[in-house]
Amino acid sequence: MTKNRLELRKFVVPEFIFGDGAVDHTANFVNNFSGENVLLVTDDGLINAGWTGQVEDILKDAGIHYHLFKNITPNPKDYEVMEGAQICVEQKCDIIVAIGGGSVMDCAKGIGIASCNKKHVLEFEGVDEVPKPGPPLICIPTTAGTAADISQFAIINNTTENVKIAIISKSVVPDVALIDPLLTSTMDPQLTAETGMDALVHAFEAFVSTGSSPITDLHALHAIKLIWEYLPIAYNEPDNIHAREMMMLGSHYAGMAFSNASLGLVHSMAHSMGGLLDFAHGLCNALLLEVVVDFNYSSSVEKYNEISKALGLKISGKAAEHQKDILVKAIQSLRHSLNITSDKLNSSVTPDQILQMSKNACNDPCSVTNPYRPTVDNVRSLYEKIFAT
Amino acid sequence: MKKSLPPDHKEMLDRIIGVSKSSHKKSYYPQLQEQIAKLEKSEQNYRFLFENMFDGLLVCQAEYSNGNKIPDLKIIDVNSALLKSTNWEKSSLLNTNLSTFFSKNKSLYKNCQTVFRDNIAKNVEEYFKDMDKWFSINIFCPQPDRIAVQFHDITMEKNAEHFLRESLREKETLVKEVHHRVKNNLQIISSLLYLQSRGFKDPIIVNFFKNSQNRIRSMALVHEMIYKSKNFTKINFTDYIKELCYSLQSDMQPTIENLSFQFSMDTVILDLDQAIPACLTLNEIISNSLKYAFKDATNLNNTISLEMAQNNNRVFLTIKDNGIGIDEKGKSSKNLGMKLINSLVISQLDGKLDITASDGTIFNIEFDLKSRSFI
Repeated sequence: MTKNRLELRKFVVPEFIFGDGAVDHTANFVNNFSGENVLLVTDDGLINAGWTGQVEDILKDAGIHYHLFKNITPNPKDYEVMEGAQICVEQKCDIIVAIGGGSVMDCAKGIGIASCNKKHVLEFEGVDEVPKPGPPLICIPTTAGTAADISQFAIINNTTENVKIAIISKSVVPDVALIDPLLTSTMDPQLTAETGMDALVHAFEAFVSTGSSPITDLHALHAIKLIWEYLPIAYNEPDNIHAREMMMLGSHYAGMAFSNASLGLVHSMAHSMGGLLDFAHGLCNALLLEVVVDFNYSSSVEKYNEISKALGLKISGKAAEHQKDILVKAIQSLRHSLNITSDKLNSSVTPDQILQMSKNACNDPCSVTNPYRPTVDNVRSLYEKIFAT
Repeated sequence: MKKSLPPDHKEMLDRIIGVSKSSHKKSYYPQLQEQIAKLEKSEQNYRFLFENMFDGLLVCQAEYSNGNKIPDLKIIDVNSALLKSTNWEKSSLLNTNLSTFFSKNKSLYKNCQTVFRDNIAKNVEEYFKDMDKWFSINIFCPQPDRIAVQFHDITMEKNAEHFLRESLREKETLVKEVHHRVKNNLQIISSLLYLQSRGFKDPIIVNFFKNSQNRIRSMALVHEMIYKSKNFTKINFTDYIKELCYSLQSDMQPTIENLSFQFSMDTVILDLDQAIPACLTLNEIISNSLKYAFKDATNLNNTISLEMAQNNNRVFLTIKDNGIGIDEKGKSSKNLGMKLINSLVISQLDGKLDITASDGTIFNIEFDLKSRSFI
């Protein structure tokens, strides 16, 4: 029996430090990059949690000058990026340190490339559309989910057309990620659940992606196992540091997988929902995963079954349709255990909006690597499922 | 089994997984190379100017040691022109503190510190004893933590200036000497005339001698004032008039009782060409007054008043006595004194003369100041 040859693949991850006290290395890395004037990108939540202050103290103690930029909201907006880019240029910042969740880090990526290329951030939409890399970027994640600290993705909300654009480029891979699980300990259970589900979706989608490779599969599958086991614990026991560490590790593995293998339809659809209706990204992902698995299953049976086996689901000897149901139900059950329900989408949606979101999702670059290329009608019927439940 | 993807989709997938032609790892290398090339070009241009400029240039970096507020200025670069004009060794200059290097030119070092502190460029002239050279030195801050010291060799100019000063001093001494000798010779002539006058008893003849003596002395006084002043081409006419009046009064025999001079004069400076005729004129007028105006011994208030004003370039001089007054015959007198006055004022000073007799005699003289061009 001849085996299929391995396809050509590439694996890019930035330098990272993982573990307790990683954040203490901020000043070292700023100095390593010869940074003299830092743009410290963050948001009010992180300032209130005290994590931003900790980074500020580290910079101050090292005698490093910095300028704070904190005007960022969830689902970062194009004008927020441009405001940050303007400050970056005006203050002559030569390095960016981002401390926060996905919104903060994606915004920081946008600020870097917009300020360096002197272009509007929306001009970088698409894959490999960034001519010059931005200034050095150090990311300090405070959620276990986004993995923007190591990924080649930056998702920015185009507020004119209410659509999220994806900037996918090796140029937005941060230079250093300082991953300190302790920083996730101040997340409330809901944020823990939604960001954790985001990480799980990263791993699921990377694993079944048409851009996957044995290298990304290794990370994706391990991420699924870790997140599956530890997300409920972190959700129920916010102070369980071991669970926080394992969640951060799971998110990190998932990040390494999806940054290289890319994502799928869950993300395409979640981006459209976030863009048009400003729903939280993690919440959308959590609700969409089981629906998309159900839709994709037949296109990637082997991979989905591998996931089921890794999760210890009893599928052997069962019919394919049954196998699918077992996995979908398991996901649903995890979601319920995290108290994520569609009534959290506290906004009514019109058929026109669903159609618009479906079109946008089909045009999203994440759809490119979905195991099955969906039509607008396919996507519309999937949206209808989650808004009907 | 995977479906075959359309080309655009395949290209998109390649890009996403990072294996398309346009996919690169994030790298600053091309930009870095570009910037390095620009810097190298800029450095080359700088070096070209630095090494080929005519003046010497020395660049210092400020370094703060042990919390000192005043930095050490460490020499970090020197150009060939500096080494050539000073014969300093590059190795002994580089990394040396400027204070050590300028230890014999403390004021220059102080100036460098001041320029660094205030960031205001300065130009000084400095003599370097070791090499017997003068430099015009520009000190400026090209960057906040640096100062540059530019040396322009002005030894030749300084030597030429010194030579000119010496030469001028010699000439001044010479001119003084000449005026001194002229004055002495005029005094000798005056004395000779006096000695000769003693051989005559006829008061008319004695008076002729006396007049000539006075005229000569009035000229000698001009030369005396010149060599005693700092300016050899002009005299202070106002001072001269006072000097002349008192000199003629003290020389008067017999003395005129109760005589006083009243002066109300602007300061007027006369060119040497006008000084002699003007002074001789004054001598004649004052002498006349002293000799003829005050015959009435009973008058207790004999006064000669002199008023002089300058309006733009024109001098107005009034000499007035309250004596017996000049008659018409006196005005048109054919004696030498009146002839001289007329001739000196009108022909030599190109001026106007008006004589009136009213409670004494009034001489009004006007003339324009002229200055000789030396160019």
